[in-house]
Amino acid sequence: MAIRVPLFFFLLSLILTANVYHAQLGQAAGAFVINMSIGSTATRNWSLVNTGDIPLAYRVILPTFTPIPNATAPTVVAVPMNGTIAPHTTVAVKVVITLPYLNNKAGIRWDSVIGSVAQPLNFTQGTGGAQIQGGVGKEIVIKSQPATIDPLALAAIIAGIVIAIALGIYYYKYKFLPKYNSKEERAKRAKRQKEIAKEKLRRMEEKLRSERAKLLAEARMIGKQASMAEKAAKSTASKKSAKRSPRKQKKGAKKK
Amino acid sequence: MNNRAVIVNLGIIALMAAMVLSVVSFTFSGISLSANSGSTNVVATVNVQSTCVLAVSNSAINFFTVNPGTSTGVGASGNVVSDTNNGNVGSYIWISGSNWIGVNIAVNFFVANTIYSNSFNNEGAGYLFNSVGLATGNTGELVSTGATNTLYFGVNIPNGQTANSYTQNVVINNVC
Repeated sequence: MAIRVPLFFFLLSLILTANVYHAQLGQAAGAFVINMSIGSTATRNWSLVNTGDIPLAYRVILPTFTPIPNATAPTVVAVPMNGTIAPHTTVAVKVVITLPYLNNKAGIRWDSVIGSVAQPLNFTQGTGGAQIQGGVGKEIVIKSQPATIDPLALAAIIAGIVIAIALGIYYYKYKFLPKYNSKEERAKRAKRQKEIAKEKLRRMEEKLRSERAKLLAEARMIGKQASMAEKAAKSTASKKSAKRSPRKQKKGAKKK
Repeated sequence: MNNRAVIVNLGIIALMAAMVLSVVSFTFSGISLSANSGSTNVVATVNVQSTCVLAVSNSAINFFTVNPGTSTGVGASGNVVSDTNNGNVGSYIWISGSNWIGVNIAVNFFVANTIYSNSFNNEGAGYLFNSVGLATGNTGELVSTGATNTLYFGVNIPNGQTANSYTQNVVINNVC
């Protein structure tokens, strides 16, 4: 009897400790190291595990990349952003990383950690002091590569150009040309050309008329100037003769 | 010892064995079975996934009342966080935080005023001493499998900081 009593209490304590359940958040080891072309998107599955005996609520904290001058940081999206993991269970969080094309260049290394913290199912944010949250983190290392053209996109562009050209040829040959060569269209074109020729002729005649008028005006002006010059010359000659001496004038008169 | 006592003791021992077995648990993935031709042997291969698991010791650090222009030093008043790695691979401690926000949210001060070290009351050269940042950073502290590492925290209060009750969030991640 004396032996069994301590044994009983030992078993009781074992029962009590065995009933203390715990939840612990873990993850599969290994960083995400990705060579990414500028403008591309990469997807990775991030495994989170609950190694404990009770359900574990978690939430994801997206990474913050240290800014680099003249470069645009990658964007990271995780699905789901929070959830509950059953005991001894692994869940996968899909991590989608996009390296923007704009304002980016090759040869840059981006390094950060996407974290997942465990939260009690009845978690409430505390106040005052430093509130500590612990969890696991997956390092994301991105090495930017030169941009590449997506083959599918290139094929779509080429196909679009070919289709556009084919449609253009079809329209020209089967819609435009027949209409263009029809009797009515030809008659319309001939009429239009006639009108254009008429208009041209009218403008030429107008131009000639105005130039003729100009020339006539100039000729009249020249004629006027010539007659004025003649009159002026005659008047000068008679004045000169009036100034000669009376003797000479008499001589001139006798001779007459 | 009579027969009844023997039976009771055997029952107790069986119960103890059952309880010990129920507490033991392990995580595994990928079991493959193969049979050697010409024999009745079956080979089972278990792939154990490499994992790191974090447990932190507390959920909040209370720095109590601190005067402007002074520092608490690292680890004072028991301001410590223990990080236990229950996984099967070592992991590094990465840390980030938010700015200190007062009850009146227009009053705050920067996260870098929170400092930590891997040694009590020791700052500067020779120790993993640094400031907490907004972007998560590697402390350089390696937590081995099954080990517990301790970080000692402190806070510097800027000169002239308005009296208030301030709160910040600190996130500690084991990265492996």
